[in-house]
Amino acid sequence: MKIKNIFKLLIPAVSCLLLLSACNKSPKKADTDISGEWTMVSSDGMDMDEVSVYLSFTQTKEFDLYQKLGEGRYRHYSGTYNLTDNILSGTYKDGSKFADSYLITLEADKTVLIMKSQNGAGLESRYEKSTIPSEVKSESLDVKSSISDNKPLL
Amino acid sequence: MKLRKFLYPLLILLFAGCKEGPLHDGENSGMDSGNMALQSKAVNTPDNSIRGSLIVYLDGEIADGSAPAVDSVFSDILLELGEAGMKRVFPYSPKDEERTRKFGLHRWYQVNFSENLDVVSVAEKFASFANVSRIQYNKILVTENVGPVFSYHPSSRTSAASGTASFNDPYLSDQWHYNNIGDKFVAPTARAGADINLKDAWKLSSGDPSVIVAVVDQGVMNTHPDLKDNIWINEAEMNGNSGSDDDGNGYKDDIYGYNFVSDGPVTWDKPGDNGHGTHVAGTVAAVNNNGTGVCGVAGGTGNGDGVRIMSCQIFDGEEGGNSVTSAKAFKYAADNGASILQCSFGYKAGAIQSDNLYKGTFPLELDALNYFISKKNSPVLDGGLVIFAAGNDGTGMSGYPGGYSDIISVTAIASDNLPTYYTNYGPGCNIAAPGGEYYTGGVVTEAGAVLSTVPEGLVMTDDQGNTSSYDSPYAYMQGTSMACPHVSGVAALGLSYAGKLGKTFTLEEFKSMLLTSVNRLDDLMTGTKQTLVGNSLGTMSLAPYKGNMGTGSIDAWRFLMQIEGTPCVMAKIGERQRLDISSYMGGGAADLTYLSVEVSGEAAETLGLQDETDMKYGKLSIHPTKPGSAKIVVRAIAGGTQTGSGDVMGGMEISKEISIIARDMISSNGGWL
Repeated sequence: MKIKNIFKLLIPAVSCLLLLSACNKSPKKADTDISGEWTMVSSDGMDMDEVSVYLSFTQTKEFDLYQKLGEGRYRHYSGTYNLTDNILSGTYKDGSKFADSYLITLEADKTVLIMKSQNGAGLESRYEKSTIPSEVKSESLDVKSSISDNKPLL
Repeated sequence: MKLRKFLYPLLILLFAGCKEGPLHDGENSGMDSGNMALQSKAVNTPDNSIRGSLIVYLDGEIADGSAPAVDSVFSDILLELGEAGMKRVFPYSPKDEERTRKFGLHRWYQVNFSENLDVVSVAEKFASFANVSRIQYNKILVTENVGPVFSYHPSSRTSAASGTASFNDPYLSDQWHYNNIGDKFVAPTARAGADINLKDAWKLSSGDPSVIVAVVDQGVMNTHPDLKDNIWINEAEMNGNSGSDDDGNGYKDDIYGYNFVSDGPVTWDKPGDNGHGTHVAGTVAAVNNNGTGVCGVAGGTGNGDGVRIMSCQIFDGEEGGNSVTSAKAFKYAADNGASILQCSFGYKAGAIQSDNLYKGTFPLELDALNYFISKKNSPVLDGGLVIFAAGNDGTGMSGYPGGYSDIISVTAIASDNLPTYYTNYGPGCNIAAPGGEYYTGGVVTEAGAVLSTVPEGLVMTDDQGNTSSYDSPYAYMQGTSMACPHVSGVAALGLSYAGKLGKTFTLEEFKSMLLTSVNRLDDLMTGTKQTLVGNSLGTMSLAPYKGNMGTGSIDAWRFLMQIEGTPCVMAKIGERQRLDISSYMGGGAADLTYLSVEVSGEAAETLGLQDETDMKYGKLSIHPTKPGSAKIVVRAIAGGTQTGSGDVMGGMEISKEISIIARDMISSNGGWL
């Protein structure tokens, strides 16, 4: 067999191998899109009369968190988040890490977001997609603002 | 800045001679029936009492009118005394009579007679009547120096700094007591943050005209350009007939308050006045944002929305007040809508050393104070708030009435966040506020004192007969007299904000919030400071003040945050931990004495609490095992290590409901995620 013929046989073979090799790697799975505004409707063990939490995620991996635990006005936190393999982690603007990482699941035509803590007792919080009331945003106290000298009470 | 030395004393208005002792020296050993009756009925001594005046408390039957009228019962003795009269201490008022009788205040009578008569002899005569239950000598109010006062003149520096102010009042930048930036012009040791933290609080509230603060003091200058818009006005009298009691409250022509000394309109410019009442009023509610002068803590935004000042005048020129005038003022304030009683006067520290003694020796005033405390004049609060200066004796206990357990007593700090040389401290003291000091850091300057309004042109005469006058409508003063209205102003701000939010509180809740809206002081009470010691500059040890200045220094922002409501504290399940509850108990939480932590069975079950839940080192020690939320109650002492009881002076008991949320994981900054 001439060398030329050998190459003629090798080229398709190598191409097939490369192709097969490429096929062995599963295609990169797109992260769940959690962008939008969410309202917490339940959280394991919590009395929802005492706890009110709103979340906003952007596609540019930034988040805003408005929480009112007990009395007082809403406290506003913000920062960046990361979502890899449906595991949510993040960092507040003050450098604090999220308390935990959370397994994310979307349900009900992506209108329900379930976050399950990964390292604690595995508690779940359930959020529904809805617009954060404008007064929550406007009247919230930014925990990093100059007027919150009294440290976030938390 | 030019110093204008008014050597005339700055007032700390004191009752004199409250010490207990023999009722009077018996010149003969035998006692007649009147003398013996007096021994059992007199509640105090005649020392330093008003000549020609006596207070008697009648039994219910005669005072209620079911017996022969008072005049006829005592007609013979009144005739015997010559030019004498007897009338109710608290005048009849149709609209308030039912409540007056409920508190027994209609039973207090004042007897007036010739000053030439011996008051003890007259007292004996009245004591011999079976329907006279108690006799109280009408004590004289006197004044005590805490240093000179200084007219204010702005410097070029003042204008430069005013651009950063919250409001456009040009002298606000010199009111370091509201926002202290540590300016060394104020004092070489001035410390940023040694103030009442008003700047941000004003963004939430700056007052409300429905809130009335009664300034019980010298008369307030109701025509002062920086006060007049925040002066309480009795519309019925304003629009009524001169010389008549148009509103039926028992007083004629009381348009801006009342002068209980002269029984007439409020005055502020008689010989002997020094503008004390006007200065105090300005701290509470000088008109804000009017492009003029100074600011008041609750002075509004310049749109007629500041709290209102009711002038209850108990000092009038050379004439000091007395038991009767002060009691009348307290009741008048209650009957005419005041929610806060601002009182920068009191008995000298040490003269009264227990609540029982105060109760026993000054029942007229206490009855009137209780009448005020129980009167609901605000939709926010179910009673009246009484705030007194602790006194300027530099003594290790509060003066009374501030020392009384139900009343807030205010100590004074300087621009360095440290106690002033003159302030009282210790048992009975509940909270601190800026009172100013001319000598902070070992340098003499008036800029370290409190800047507020005074009657311009008022001529004053000092003890040596030298005269001087205010050549400005503003002046510096120092004293617990000046600290007190800061707390009254913040309380008024809180009432204003709570009204805006539609919140209501019990008086106990409100006091607990006020007394825990503080910044810590005790961590600074080591070493020394330079100030006035004796009659010269020197070194003052701070150790005696540790744990004795009250819960800490008042913080308006913290208070408004508490009015809004305090968020839950987060705890992690599965471990024992110590939670910072300073948002509930104040910046001085670590220094408070805690009485108890109360956990209901339901709360313990909800959170799966293990071990004991208690306070350790100012933190809540807790071990939850289940996620959830619950409330627990923490009780503490506001001021000192023991609560005041009948026989022992001490702090005020406060209680706070703490909301806890227990979760499996919590972030370091309190964020939910």
